[in-house]
Formats: sequence, structure tokens, C-alpha cells
Amino acid sequence: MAVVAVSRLTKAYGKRPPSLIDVTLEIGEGVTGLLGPNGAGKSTLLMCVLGLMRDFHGDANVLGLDARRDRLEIRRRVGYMPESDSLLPNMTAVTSVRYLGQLTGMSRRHALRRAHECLHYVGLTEALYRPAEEFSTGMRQRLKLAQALVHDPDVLFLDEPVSGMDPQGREEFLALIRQLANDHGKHVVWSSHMLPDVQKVARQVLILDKGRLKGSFRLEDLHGATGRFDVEADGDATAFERAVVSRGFETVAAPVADDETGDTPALAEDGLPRFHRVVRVGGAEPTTALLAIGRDAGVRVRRVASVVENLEDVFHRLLDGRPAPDAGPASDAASGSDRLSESHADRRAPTPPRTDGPDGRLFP
Amino acid sequence: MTLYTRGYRRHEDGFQARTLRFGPIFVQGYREAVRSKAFRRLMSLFTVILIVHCMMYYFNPDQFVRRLSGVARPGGASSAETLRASVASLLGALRWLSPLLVLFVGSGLVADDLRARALPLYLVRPITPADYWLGKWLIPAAVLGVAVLLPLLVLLVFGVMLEPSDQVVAFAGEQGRVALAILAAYAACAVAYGSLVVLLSTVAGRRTPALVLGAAAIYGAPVIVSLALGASVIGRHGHPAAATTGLLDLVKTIWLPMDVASIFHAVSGAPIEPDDVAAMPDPWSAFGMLVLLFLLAAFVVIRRARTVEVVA
Repeated sequence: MAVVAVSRLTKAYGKRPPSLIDVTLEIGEGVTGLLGPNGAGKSTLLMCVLGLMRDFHGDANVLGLDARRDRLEIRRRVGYMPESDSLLPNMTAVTSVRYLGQLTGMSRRHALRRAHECLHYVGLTEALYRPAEEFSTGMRQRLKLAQALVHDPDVLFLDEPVSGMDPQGREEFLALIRQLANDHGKHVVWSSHMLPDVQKVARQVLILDKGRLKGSFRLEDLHGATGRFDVEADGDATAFERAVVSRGFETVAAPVADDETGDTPALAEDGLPRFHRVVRVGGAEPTTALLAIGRDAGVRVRRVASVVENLEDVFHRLLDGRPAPDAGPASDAASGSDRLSESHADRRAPTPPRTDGPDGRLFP
Repeated sequence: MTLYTRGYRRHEDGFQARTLRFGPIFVQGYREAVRSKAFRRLMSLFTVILIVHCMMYYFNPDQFVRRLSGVARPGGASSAETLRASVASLLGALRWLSPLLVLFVGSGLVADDLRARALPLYLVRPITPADYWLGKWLIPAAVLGVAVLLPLLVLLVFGVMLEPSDQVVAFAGEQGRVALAILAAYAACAVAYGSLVVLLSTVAGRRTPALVLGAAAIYGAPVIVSLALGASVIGRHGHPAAATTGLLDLVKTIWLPMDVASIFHAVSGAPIEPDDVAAMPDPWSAFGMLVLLFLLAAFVVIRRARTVEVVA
């Protein structure tokens, strides 16, 4: 079931250019990252689905409820953690969480108990009765999460939830979100610029830019094969390239000089030159094919590793509007014409391409 | 009993089918207001004023002699007249002091939320901007209930209880119009001062400027009205009492305590102070002004909340 479904949503503020243009998307269960630069339309999208804006074109549904007609019911079933440093003035942590619980329709007694539970859960046990205005940035973020959780919502909308937090606090926060999603069945929409954080917790990613949906994909697809392999071998690199071409494949990345890799000696133990090439290979048995190419070229293939993209690669590629030249499993999940295949590393040569690490090593 | 459990627990106690969604806003705000130092100190002052008025009524020469001798003084005022005068006198003091109380406890009602950027926290809950407005407006209205309505009713009941036992019920029955006037005056105070303070709190966006603006509006208006009244009297009328109609009547309505006096006068049939009559606007003008102020405050607060809704 789609947690959030948006169809042809367009929203403009007055006579300014639209903040969202004909956006159609579905947000599934689990944690979803909503990524985009400033002004991309992330917050506007959240406001529309929360029913805080009603003068938009198109349809928006949350948990099957219409964002215009059922906005109060939606707000009872979702928790929202705003990006701004919002605090209820002149209140202790427990009072503010209890108060917001009451505003959601909980009785005072139940809201007070939930406030204690939620504040304990987010790690503010020692600060229950301290005025929230005295809190540090990290504590405020935790307090905002407790406020969003107090009424036990089905969906959490988190707008830049870890901004300003220290690394340890950030990791703890990510662990909390993972736990909420995995153990307690919460659906989380995480709006952020912080790509590494999103990559750590999200299952699905949506990328917005200039009011348009640039891409939508599952993160697990990023880790799938892209059809490209980083080959480390000893021997004649030119012969290897010729063998690649003769088999109908191609070398897609600029060669990386051996002495620039930093971790590979320029020469093998037996004196052969060591080189890297990124090769695009098709077929069901790419590793076998590469080993055969190595045999044909008379080089010793030491390592074959599948080149994977990380979120940052895809993010930048989609924002740059660069087309994907080839199709791998990840690209199947991309929406529209945006496909995920070309590595961000490709346009940053001579940086070594990202690989799946030691697991991809063929030989010790 | 376990107050809480560690770890995350689902909320399985359900939600209240609440029709008065503004209720928690009002209750929380009212609790904070009555716990404030300003409220406690000013209420102490109001209590002293109430006690003084009770003593003045008790020791009023006409009533005191009648109670001692059982015979009314020749030419003396009746109990009802004296009680009405006492109630009017107490209202005369409270209509000036209660705005001060409302300004101290209410200037931050919306301004503090704006300063702390808390409005989005309200509006992502199942409440509307109108709920927010109503919850906030009811706070000064309830504070005025304690500060204005309660002392006036206490004085009225005190006066009734001083009557001989066999006349209490009959005397109480005769005070219906005064009781009605008290309720009308309270309603006028609540609408006038409550709306003003919430309006200024929203417009100013900060507590102190809202307080200063409110004080200027309440305590500066007499100067403007007096100047307008004086100019009108000098220019066209021979006596201040003649200056009761036209544009001047509308100018008078900006003097909110006088609007309260006008409404009390219209319902009770007696002025708070005889000297006030020339400065009092027509009751309908006063009523119109208060309704306008209420609607303006509602419009501004709801619009502000809707703006936050949109750009949150």
C-alpha cells in the first residue's frame, strides 16, 4: 500500500513560478528519503500532503485519506518534525510533549504518560522537567522527535531531522529511526540534504529539484550491478583493452595511473605492470567473460569488482540532468527518463571507481 | 502503578472525540496565566479593592443607620440604589485596572508562539487556525472572569446577604437588572480587552511591544477623545452633554473602558460615574466597536496562522 500517493501535483505561491510542477509519486512503506537542494519543493510537498496547503492542483493522499478533505484526520495519524527550531515557549520538555498530545486528541492522563515514555525513548530522561528553551541543538531535535511521536502516528515526516547534531547524536538518532521503522512499523519520510544519513536509513529515495521529481528508486537497487566492473590485472593494458573490444565490450572509465591509486604497487612481484580498467560487460556470467578476456590478452586478472553507485553519485547525476547511457537493474527503478547507471565516478577521473570492496576480490 | 514503560510502546488508549478542539489551548494558556506573578500581584490588588468596596457598602451611612435602627434615614438612598452605586464604583475601578492585568498575562499569548516559531507545532495537529484563535482569545476572557466578573458578583451577593433575612429573596429578585448589567459589562471587557491583547500580540510579534502598544491604546485613548470632545464643545455645542452624536460618537468608541461603561449604563440604567456621560459613546456605537474589534482580531490571528500553515 502506498503510504503517500501524489498525482499530478502542482503548487504555486501567488504569481511566482510553481514550487511543484506536475509531480506524481508514491511513497511506500518503511523509510523514504526525500532529497533535493534548497528550493527543490520538499517542504512544499510535505505541506501539501499534510493538508497545510489546500490550494494546489492535483491529488494528494496519505494513508488513503485525501489531503484536502481529511486533513485533520491525516494530522492525527502523522507526526511532523519541522526543520525550524520550533519550541513551545515557557514549557518544560514533558509539558510541551504532553500538551501536543492533548492537541491531537489524547486525554491529559494518557498524554502525560506518553510524554514520559517518548522522552525516555528519545534519550531525554535527564531533561524531562527542564525548560526546553535551555536545550542544546541535539536535545531540541530529540524533543521534536518526541513531540512527533507522542500520539503514536503511523507516518513520520521528518524535515532535516539531524541538522546541527554531533556525530554520536546523529548515529543514535539514525538508530532510533531505523528501530521505529523496522521494529514498530512506522513509515518515515525523511526530507534532507544529508545524503549519507539518508543512505543509512532509507529504503526508497525520491529526488526533487526545481519543483520536479528527478528520480525515484530503491536504495537496494543502487547496490546491484551496474554492468560495469573494475578490473585489476598484471600485464599489458593495451592488449587487455584490445581483447575487451574484440569481445564486443568496452572500457568506460579513464585508466587510472597505477601510482595514483595509492594502494596498488606499480609493478607486480614478478615485474609485470599492474593496471586498472573499468569495463562494461554484458551477459549472465560477466566475471567469467572478464577472466576469458584476461586469458586472451595474456594478462593476469587479480581482481574483478562490480562498480556500484552510491547515493551521492546518483543525486548529482540526476540534478545535473545527465542521461544514463546504459541500463542496469538500478535503472529499472528510476522513474521517467531518469535512469541510474552512470557512475558519478566516471566524470571525476582519475578518481578510482567505487567498488564493492574486498568481497569482490578474486585473488588474495 | 507504572507511570511509564521504557522503550517504544504503541498508544492503545484511543483518542477523544473532541468537538472543542481549542480546549487544550485554552486550558494550558489559562493555567500559565493564573500562575504568573503579574496575575497574583494584580489579583491581590483587586481583592483589596473588592474588600474596600464591601466595607464602603457595609459602612454606607444610609444603610448602616437602617441596619442599626431598623428605620431608613429620611431622604437616604435605598439599599438597591446604594448597592448599584457600589457595583458601579467597583466596575469603575476594575475597567481601568483589568486591562493592565490582561496586558501583562496576555501580551505573549501569540507573540511568544511567533518568537519560538511554535505555530507549526500547533497547526500540524488536528486543529484549525480558528481553533487556535478561539483558544487564545478565551484565555484573557477567562482571566477577566476572575478579575472582573467574580468581584462584581461577590459584591452583589454581599449586598444581598446584608439584607434582613425575610427580605433577602425579594431584594435579590430586584437585583436582576444589576446582575445583567454586570454580565454585560464583563462580556464587554472580555471582548474589548481580550480581542485587543490578542490582536496586538499577533501584530507586534513580541511581548513587550504588544504590552506597550496595548497600554497606549487603553490609557492614551482618553487624551484623544478629550481633545476631540473639547474641540467639538468649543466649536459647536454649548455643553459637553450635547456632543453625543455623529463622527464624535465614533471617536469616543476608541476609548474602550468608556465602551464598557456605556454598555453597563445601557443595561443597568445608571452610569458608572455621572461625569462619564458626556464622554460615553452611544451603546450601539460601543457595541459595534467591540464587535468590530473582535472580528478584526479574529481575522488577523487566523490569517497569521494560515500564513504559517502555508509557509511552515
